[in-house]
Amino acid sequence: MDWDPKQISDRELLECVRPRLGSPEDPLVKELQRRLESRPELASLWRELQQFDIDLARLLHAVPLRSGLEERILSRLAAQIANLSASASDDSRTSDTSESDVACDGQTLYTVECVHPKRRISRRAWVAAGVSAVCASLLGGVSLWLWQNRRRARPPSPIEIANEVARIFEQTLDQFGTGQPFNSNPPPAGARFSREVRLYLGSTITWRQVTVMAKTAVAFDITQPSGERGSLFVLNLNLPDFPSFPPYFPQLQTSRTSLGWWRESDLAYLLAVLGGPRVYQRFLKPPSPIT
Amino acid sequence: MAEDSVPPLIEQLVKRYAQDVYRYAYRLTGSAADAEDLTQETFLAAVKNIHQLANREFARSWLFTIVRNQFLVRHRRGGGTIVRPLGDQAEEIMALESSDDDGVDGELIQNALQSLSAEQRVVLLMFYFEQASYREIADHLGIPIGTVMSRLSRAKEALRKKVLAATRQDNGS
Repeated sequence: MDWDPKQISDRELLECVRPRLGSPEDPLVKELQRRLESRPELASLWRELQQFDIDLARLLHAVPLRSGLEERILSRLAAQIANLSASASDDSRTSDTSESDVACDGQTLYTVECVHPKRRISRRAWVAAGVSAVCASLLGGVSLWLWQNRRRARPPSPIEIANEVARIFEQTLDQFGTGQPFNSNPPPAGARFSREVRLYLGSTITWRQVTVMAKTAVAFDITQPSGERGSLFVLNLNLPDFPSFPPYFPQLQTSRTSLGWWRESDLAYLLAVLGGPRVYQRFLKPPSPIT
Repeated sequence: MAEDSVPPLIEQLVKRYAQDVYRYAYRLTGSAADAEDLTQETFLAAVKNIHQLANREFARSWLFTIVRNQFLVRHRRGGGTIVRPLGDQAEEIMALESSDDDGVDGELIQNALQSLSAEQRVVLLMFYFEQASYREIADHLGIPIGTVMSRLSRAKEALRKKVLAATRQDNGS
């Protein structure tokens, strides 16, 4: 390093150096630790900045996703790859032709075949072309059938599940809080309550069984002391498309409901609350520091 | 069948990382349509350069490098926004989910990001999305560490000011 770490301003050091990302031997990590130990006011600012980092990281990751993204990318990629192959073979054909032309030009006598003859197509060629066309159509039909089956068999996307949960939540509001009390009557094994949901002194929880995407799930109905209501849907499904922590902002909003989803080990969680993003955020625990 | 002509490894990468790449692209470009185009370009570049991916464990960061480079190339050519025929756009608008409306906060953070220069945005997103250290950012972008630190701290400060101002305004109203 051709500059002295002591010359770096406090602000740049606090903003840019994360001890967990750099080696402990990193001169800037050492410098940061030295300043934090010797100046308590910097340590307090450091904690605030760390919290801001966590909040900002969550905000930045909370991007609304478009349904069918992977399918569109794959189908366009297939087309692009086909184009690339076609242009490559066109190139080779062009180069063959020019070689042939050069070869022709080099001959003294031009034969009929050599001067770009019109090809006569034999009956055998016609039959071969016909058979190829029939085979291609059959192959295309089978591929299409397989593709459609595969599409039908694919696991539901997060947005599909979220839409269904939002619909269930809104349509069963009359049953909200009428299930079994969580404290005295625990839910079926496997339906764990999430560690990410925030409870206050006086929060009440009941649970009931619901059917989501034709599978049995558990909905924990939570009433906060403020009167705010939300349901945590627990699905025993391994959904790798779900993020591993709850999003800071709801990923789906209807006129009444805000909904976010995440996964914890092999369970999928969807939190639906009555109200906007602020209500949704009050149902989540504050994030823990990065370092 | 379209998907069948895509190499299996690429298909796996798309299924596993398309959403991550799209999120990154969205924060870089600020528009859903541009983000999807950039994601598409990223995977096409991945097809062409798949031999560079020696270890699949690093696929995510490799794809992030591609998306970042594609964005910077596009930006340097002056093509921050792609102009497409209305037909394409109409199709995309039809494909939008209702969740595309990410609310005031999503809009706020994106507006704040768009107010940064492309270079600041890249450094900031490398820090948050790629979890890159200041040294790694400097190495990848080929710029001095001091430049990384000044761009990053300025970008974070600008973003913080905008977020806090909007939060205060939100709480006040």
